[in-house]
Amino acid sequence: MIEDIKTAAIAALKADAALAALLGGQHVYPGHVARTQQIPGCYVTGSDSSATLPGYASTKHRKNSPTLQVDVFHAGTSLQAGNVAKAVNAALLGAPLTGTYGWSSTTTEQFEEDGRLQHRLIRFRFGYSIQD
Amino acid sequence: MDLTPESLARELTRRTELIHDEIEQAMAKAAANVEGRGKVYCTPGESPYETQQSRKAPFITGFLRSKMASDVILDGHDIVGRVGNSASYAVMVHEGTSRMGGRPFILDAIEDEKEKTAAILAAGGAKGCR
Repeated sequence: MIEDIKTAAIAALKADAALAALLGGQHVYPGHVARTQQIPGCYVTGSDSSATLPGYASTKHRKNSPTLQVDVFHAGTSLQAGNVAKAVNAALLGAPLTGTYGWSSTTTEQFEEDGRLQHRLIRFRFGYSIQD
Repeated sequence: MDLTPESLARELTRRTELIHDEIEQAMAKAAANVEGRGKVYCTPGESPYETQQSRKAPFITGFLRSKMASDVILDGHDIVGRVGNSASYAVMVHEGTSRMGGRPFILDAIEDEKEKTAAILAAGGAKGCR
């Protein structure tokens, strides 16, 4: 499921006109920045874990703990990087992906001195149901 | 007990302080538990990051692990448990950089110990209510 969500998130971010304008194109990619090295750019990763719920033997229901992470790298100002992060948040929190619910996010800010890069890390939490 | 308004107020204050103290102690215990889990995540052979492709435990000398810490602060009526790391490069390891993926050893420890944290705090609250 998380792979489907990552794919859908990348498609949603690429389709966002405001984000494309800030990035100078549809620079949204799966995986870590080191693979593509497009800056400015957004890099989407994610993982999930699940555990069976009480009564699983009959209901086959699992609880899930998925996370989706978007790393924004920008060689411009803190404001520019922050605006990209805001656009990412608006795109994913404003229109939750099909089959998911309860989206929230936290953003952290870093500055890489050696490469003069702004780094914004946005972690999304949400839920979805799985019945085996 | 005399049931006068004054004695009732004193008793309520005493019990409130008792619950507060017990939860403060429980919070210290819960934060220390998360700190311990964070240390495990910085330990070769025990770190969950080793199971991920091309990843290693965040460990070279053990300095990062030795800088894990936890405490409790009081913010008005709020009791806040804090877990952190004072190594200068901890944030880079935790959040990742343009050359390296993050290994969020504190955030993952908080998430993975969430149920135990709730149980410790609930036990502290219950003890204070007795």
